[in-house]
Amino acid sequence: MTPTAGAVGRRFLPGRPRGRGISAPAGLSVLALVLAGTAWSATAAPVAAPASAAVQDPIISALEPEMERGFKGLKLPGQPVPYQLSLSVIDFDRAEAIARLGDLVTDERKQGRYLHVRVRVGSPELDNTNYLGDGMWGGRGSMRTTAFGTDPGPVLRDSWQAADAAYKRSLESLAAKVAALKREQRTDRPADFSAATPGAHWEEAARFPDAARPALADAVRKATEVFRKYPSIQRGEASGNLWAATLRYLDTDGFRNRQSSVGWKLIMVAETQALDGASLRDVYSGDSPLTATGIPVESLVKAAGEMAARLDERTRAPNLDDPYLGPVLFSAAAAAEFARQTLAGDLSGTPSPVANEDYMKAYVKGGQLARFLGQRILPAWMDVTDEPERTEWGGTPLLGRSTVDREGVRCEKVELVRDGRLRTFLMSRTPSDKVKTTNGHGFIVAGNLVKAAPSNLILTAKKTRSWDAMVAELVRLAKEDGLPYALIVRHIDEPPGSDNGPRRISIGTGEESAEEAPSRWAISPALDIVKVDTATRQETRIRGALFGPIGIAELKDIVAAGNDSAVYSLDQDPDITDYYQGHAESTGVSIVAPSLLFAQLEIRPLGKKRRPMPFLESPLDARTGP
Amino acid sequence: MKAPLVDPFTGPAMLSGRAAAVLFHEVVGHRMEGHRQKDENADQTFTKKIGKRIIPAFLSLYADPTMEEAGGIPLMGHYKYDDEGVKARRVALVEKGILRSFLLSRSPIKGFPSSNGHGRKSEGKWAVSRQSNLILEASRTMPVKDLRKKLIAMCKEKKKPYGLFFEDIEGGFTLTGRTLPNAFNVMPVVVWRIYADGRPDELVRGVDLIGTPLTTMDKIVAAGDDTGVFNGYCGAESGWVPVSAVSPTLLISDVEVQRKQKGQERLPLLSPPSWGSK
Repeated sequence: MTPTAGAVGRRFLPGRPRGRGISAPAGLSVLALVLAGTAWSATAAPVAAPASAAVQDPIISALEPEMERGFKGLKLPGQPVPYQLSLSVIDFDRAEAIARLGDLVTDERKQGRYLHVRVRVGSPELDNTNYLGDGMWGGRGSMRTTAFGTDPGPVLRDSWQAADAAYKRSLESLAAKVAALKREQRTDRPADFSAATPGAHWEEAARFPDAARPALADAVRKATEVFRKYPSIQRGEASGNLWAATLRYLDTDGFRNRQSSVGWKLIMVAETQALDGASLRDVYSGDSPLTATGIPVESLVKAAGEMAARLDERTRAPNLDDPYLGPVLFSAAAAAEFARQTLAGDLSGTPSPVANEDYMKAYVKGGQLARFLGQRILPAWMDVTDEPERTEWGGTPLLGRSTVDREGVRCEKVELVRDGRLRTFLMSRTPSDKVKTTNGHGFIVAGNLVKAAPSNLILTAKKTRSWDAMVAELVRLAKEDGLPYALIVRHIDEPPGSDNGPRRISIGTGEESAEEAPSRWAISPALDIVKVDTATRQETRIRGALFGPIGIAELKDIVAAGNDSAVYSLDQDPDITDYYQGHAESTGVSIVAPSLLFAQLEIRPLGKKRRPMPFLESPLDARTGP
Repeated sequence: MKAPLVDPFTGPAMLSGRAAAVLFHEVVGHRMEGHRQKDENADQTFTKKIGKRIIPAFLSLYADPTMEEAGGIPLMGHYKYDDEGVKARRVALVEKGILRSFLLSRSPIKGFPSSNGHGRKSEGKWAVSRQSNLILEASRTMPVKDLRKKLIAMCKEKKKPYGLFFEDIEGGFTLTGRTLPNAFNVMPVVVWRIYADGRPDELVRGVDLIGTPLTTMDKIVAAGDDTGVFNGYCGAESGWVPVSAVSPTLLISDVEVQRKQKGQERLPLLSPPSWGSK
């Protein structure tokens, strides 16, 4: 997701708007009657599971018999019947505040409820899910808005219609999937659905305190007021979101749960041009569960100030003039951002879906780690775990905290990499040929596909050094290579657009299938990067640094890790959302990493494109310039 | 839901004021927009007809954004200044069937050098000439019940078993370019068959009213003594703008209807869930 203000806080993404109304082409005029007109990470305290699960929640109580009625009654002559039916009911309450230069541009609140019905027909070995086909995009389930009051009547009626639609689409998908499979030779296709032990989990419904909303508005106002001091910055905006989400889940396997989350997100984006006309931008993204301390306005203002000062300095900083091939040191914050764009998405074990066109598989392909199970992908002194039930790291709240996943399965701590060796993958109830059972990581739902994703992904090192020792080692390695300088990266840009998963560059020869083609990760440009003179150790800020494609070899050749750590949290949009026409649910994730020293990375100059500077100086220059 | 579908049909029809208002908005109103008169790709149906009769002589057509209501109904097309800052004013587009003027923004056209307060747009768009409150007036009217008698008489004369009454509509669209047929489509939601043999009126469904501008206008034969108002949003090059159209009920000697687009989706497999009313 491009962190432009206004596109934030989508912890839960059903029905992403896709252009409103009709854009009349030339020559066509339309008079239409218009009658005048999320995130999800648990922070609320769990409550004890009741003896009778359904009595905890009137909506679940009302939906249970309707779910059973649909499960038993949905049948078309000569067609398979459902073997599993599930319902998600997601209540959200979201506030948004956007500000520029200290004044609000938007201040609004939206409440609602989404209903998502998924129907599986066929059998666990072969069902309608995990399929992408022309025009149907995998037989998506049926998601719709529904009434969010306490009367279950409207929800029942909507669930009746949604289940009917989902069943019919499921039949279409299964038939199309069976036809697509007939064109394949493979015999080792994993089953579509694995068994899991039903359970119940209950949390109080989520709500954010009344004081949080004015605090959010205060935060974006104060943060953007900082930009007044920097006339060199052409555009600066802060967009804050506050959300409370309650997810109810029930299915015919016997899973019942209600989870809740309350959190906030703040994205600041600033843009300008260097003196030579090159475009520059910087971004700050803060994403966190809402804790008792509330929204940390002062630290956000401080972050805004640092970002503005950095961007201002970059307008005068020299561009990286030549390609660089040598050691690169990532601060802990940058290492966590780096892990988000590399490892985080590719530790999902969810296999590629069946597709009736090979190219479609690339949309949700398993990732370049899929073939490296059991092999070393990191230094032998590094581990990677995913810890869904962890609530904080070094005092920083973790966004990925979950007790059960979107399939109702209890989340497990997973040792993904131990001693540098890839041991397993994050799994939903969709098995792969290598991992057959879920570990409670089905966090991303897109139609009928449930993709495994990280919750709290934690990179640790058994052998660490101080920051100064890391810098010394960086310089030593650079000298060894005969380089006049080495590079330190402290912040990298967010991925662009709706590109939320790891971006990969396929480097196949064209002979391979989409799944077989090797690929490398594409990392966003560095926003905060300095040259360290190998002789004097003097640091000089530079701009225009783009990473070359990065593969597993570079990860394996990490030479040192710091004794520090940083937490990077984000709402984890499914990279497949667009292919399911917005019928998707996302989740929050936190990534923890220490500073990391890479033996060798390729960094190329960026920013040769120029555009004219504004003809007139900023009006702020005359009034409030420093 | 239980009403029968109508087959494609040509014959006499009566349009309620609301339906007739949308018809005029689509068929005439859009072709009165000034910028289309100098757009070489536009149909320019009326560009060279200033001073000539384009609709029956008992009808006159105005654009009047200064009107706040008609027949006690507030008009959405009311404004005091257009989106180019020009004061809104009443414009006589057609007087007694004769074309007199066009809707004008600050983009002049031949013979009309100044805006008449109809430069309109939605946010982020450039203003072009658009409609406001389009008012159709008839100098000769009759009670609507007499229009109905006349409709039945026309059916008998044309040996048609029934005529159609378009009671309510949801909207419409028109094509004003040259590459596609210069046609309109008005989408009714309530249509009745009025039988010539005295059978009770029958609610029908599944039809759209279609046609081409000049032919349709020529076939308007009478107007009612009532007033129908359609309030809605009009979408075109400069975005969506609120508009109104006002018209009496009209009798048209010949209209054409085509089948509506329809789905073939199977009905729900289960009955609705039972749940007590609140």
